[in-house]
Order: sequence, then C-alpha cells, then structure tokens
Amino acid sequence: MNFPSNLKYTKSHEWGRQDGAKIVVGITEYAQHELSDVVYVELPKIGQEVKQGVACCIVESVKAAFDIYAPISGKIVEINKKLESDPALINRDPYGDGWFFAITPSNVNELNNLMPAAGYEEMLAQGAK
Amino acid sequence: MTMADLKSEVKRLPLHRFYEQAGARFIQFAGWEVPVYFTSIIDEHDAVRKNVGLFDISHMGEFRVRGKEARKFLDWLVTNKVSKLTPLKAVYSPMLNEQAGIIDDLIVYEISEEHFLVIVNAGNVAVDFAWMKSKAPAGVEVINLSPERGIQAVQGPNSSKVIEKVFGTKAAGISSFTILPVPFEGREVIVSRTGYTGEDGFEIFYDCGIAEPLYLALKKAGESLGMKPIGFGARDTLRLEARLLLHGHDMNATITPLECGLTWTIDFEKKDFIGKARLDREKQSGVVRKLVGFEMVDRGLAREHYKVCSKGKEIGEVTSGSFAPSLKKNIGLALIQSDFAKEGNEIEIMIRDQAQKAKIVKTPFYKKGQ
Repeated sequence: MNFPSNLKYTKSHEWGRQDGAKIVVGITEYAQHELSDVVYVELPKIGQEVKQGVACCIVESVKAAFDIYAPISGKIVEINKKLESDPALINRDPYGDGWFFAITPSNVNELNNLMPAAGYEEMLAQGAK
Repeated sequence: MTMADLKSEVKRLPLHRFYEQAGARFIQFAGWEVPVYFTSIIDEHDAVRKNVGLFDISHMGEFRVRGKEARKFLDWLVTNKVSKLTPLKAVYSPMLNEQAGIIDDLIVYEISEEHFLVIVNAGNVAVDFAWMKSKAPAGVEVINLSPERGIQAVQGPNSSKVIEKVFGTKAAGISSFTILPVPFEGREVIVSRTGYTGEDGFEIFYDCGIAEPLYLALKKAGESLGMKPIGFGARDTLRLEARLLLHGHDMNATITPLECGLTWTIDFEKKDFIGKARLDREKQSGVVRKLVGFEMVDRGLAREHYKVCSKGKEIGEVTSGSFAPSLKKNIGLALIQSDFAKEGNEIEIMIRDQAQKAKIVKTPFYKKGQ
C-alpha cells in the first residue's frame, strides 16, 4: 500500500496535506480498502467549525456508515462536491480526486499531533500483529 | 471470561483457511466468522447477476426428519404444503409459534417417502431444534446434522455450466426446487436448484469430510467461466434486491407471515398447522403492520432500525437497507402501519435525525433477466 510522505496521518486513518494556508483532507488507502465500495458521502458545510479528532463527515460503504474525523481544528473552506455524484472516487484515488474537504486551521501547531507516513505505517503494522 | 474464551465461541467455516488465503475480509454473522467480501461487494454482486459466483453457506443448519409420520408432522409444523411434496422436491416455508410469529423460515426437502431434510438459518439452529424436538411425536426422529454438514452455493446465470462439469448433465438439468443425490469422492452429495440471490442457481449439501475436494472441484470447474468467490456482503445485497427476507431482521417471532408478505407460503386449506388459528383471525381482521419495499428519493442510505415517518408522524421501522448495485439506487424494506403501505406513497426515513424522502415501490426491486 502507498502512504505518500508529503502527507500527515491520524490514528483514525485520515490524511492532511498542507496547501498554502489550508489543509486538504482525505482518507488513506488502508481506510478505503477497509471500507470497500463507498456509496455515499455526507460532507461538512462550508464555513462549519471543526475540531481536531471530532467527527465532521460521514461515509457509507455498501455495508455500514463510518465517521470521518477532522485532523485539525479550524473552518471548512472547501468541499469536494464531486464525491456526491461519484463517491467511488474515494476508492479509486484516495490521495487525489477522492479528497474530502479543506480546512483553514485555527492553530497550525496541531499538525504536530499527526503522524508522518513512517509512523502511520508502523501503527498499521502493529495493529496487524 | 478471557479473550480466548470469547474467540472459541465464534465458529469458523471448515474451509476458513482457503478464504483467508484468497484475501477475504471477515465479519461475524449469526455466531460465525464468515467472509464479507473477497474483492468488493459490488464486483461480487455483479458477478452473480451476470455470470456465476461461489458461496460457502456451511453456517446454515441442517436437520434430518425421519419416520412413518414424518410428513404428517412437518405438514403440521410449517405453513406450506409439505403433504404435496414428492420425492426429490422441496418447499420453502415459515415455521410459526402459536401466536403465528415466525420462529424461522426454512426449506423442507423430501429425500424419500419417510425421510426429509430441513435447512434452517444458522442463528436459529438451537431454537429450531428444541422446538421441533418438543413438537415431534414418538416415532419421528429429528436429528441435528449441522456440525458435520456443509453447503456450497453456485449462483448466477452460468451456474448450470459449473454444475454440469462437476456432477453431469442430469444434475445440471434439474428444475427449480428439485434435488438430485449424486456420488462424489465415494460419498453422496445432494444437488439442489435453490438459492438466495434472485438468480438461477444451485446449492450442494455434503459431508464436511469432503469439503476440500468438493470446493476445489467447483473452483476448477468455474475457472474458465471466471466464477468468483462471493462474500456475505453481496449475499445480502442480492437477496434484498430480490426481496428475499432475512430472518431476525425482516421477520422474527413477533411478526406474522401475513404482515411480511409471505401469504403465498400459507396453506389455509390445511386442517391445522401451528399458528393457524391466529392467522385465520388475522386474515379476517386484516393486518395492522405491513412490510413494504421503498427506494430513497433523497440521497441518504436507510439502515436497519431507522425510524419511518409519514408527515412527521412515526409509522414504523426499517428492517433492511442498502445500496442496490443492480439498480444503482438506495433501497430498503420497512415494517410500517398498513394504512400507509400503498405503492407510490411518500414516506420519510429518519437518517441521523434528519427526515429524508423515500417512496414505497413495487417489489421485488429486481427480477431475473431485468
């Protein structure tokens, strides 16, 4: 599995990518594989305040619903509308067209709470034992 | 209780390691650890609708009922016409309690005049067995074969090609709800033209001792056709599209067959069967609740136990809900007050505290060859 090194990762399998003043958010390849076919996404609203580690979005696979947690506190400034008509983008391209939303962080230092790719991979390897 | 104890209570399929090797993801279902999917629920669903798929459903229960009075007993035990069965024929039927609630739904297979097999739901094996033992008259033997028996299901429009390769043309040519005992590896297996997918298909009942050679033979026969292994995720979407009910969800011991649309499985002409008095009364008075099919108008997905409303007033509950891969729609079944159960009616499904529009539609949602 691929875990790009330019991303930061959460324990709950989201990734964040710094893009100028905002943080773009999605879920990892591991997460999309665990979910299997994503058939529905309920995105947060633009302007919504989110808190690090708190659920702010829902994805549903054929089988069940799952929460997506904000990797950093701040305000939602963009959402990926394409996911509403084509939620399988999350399965096909989790680090690209399958992004969920972008946040302008209220405290960039919170990024330090996230893991680098190597740390995330190590966590997965531990869990698999 | 330690974790090890907890683990030992979850049963594994005899061929578990083969599915592990094939990359299956597992879930727990009715006390069993079973594959939920191998590649993707949607891909597996499509494989069964368009080609052929192989399912291990050895979790299901199997009873032998034998004796001079076995037919008479079964005819009284269940609602459908066991008395009209002939050797090598099968019938689907609910089994009711005195209040006409559905203890389980099952299939009765006639092996010979005084010998029947009954296939029941995995989660109900203990309850069914106790019930049947308590009701069986002297001279009728009820034996729980479940631990030593397995079932593989071959389902889909190309299923008969796989059956023909392994068991010959005669087995591949049997008609729906018919069985044929055939030799395999020195033992007898039973090939049945039944299933739970809404497609043509077969189920093979066998002794677990030959689970491995049988599985490998089926797999090999399906190879050139592109047969796929299918998990329980697709089994659920396939059966839901075909409006095949799931016990413990769409029906249970407090829901009657008239309420959930199984009237066709009741032989009211029979002199008696368990639950008949209550059903006769319900037939007269009409049902208060009804199981209906709906499709979402708004974007959300309905899931089991979500509340159903009409103009803000609660009228029932979702019993099954999913994305329907063949229809590319979100569908479900709901048990609602019968006054509202009219095709075309708009209802609301409460999804995470929000009312989302849905409408009652004709079922089955999907028909073979559609």
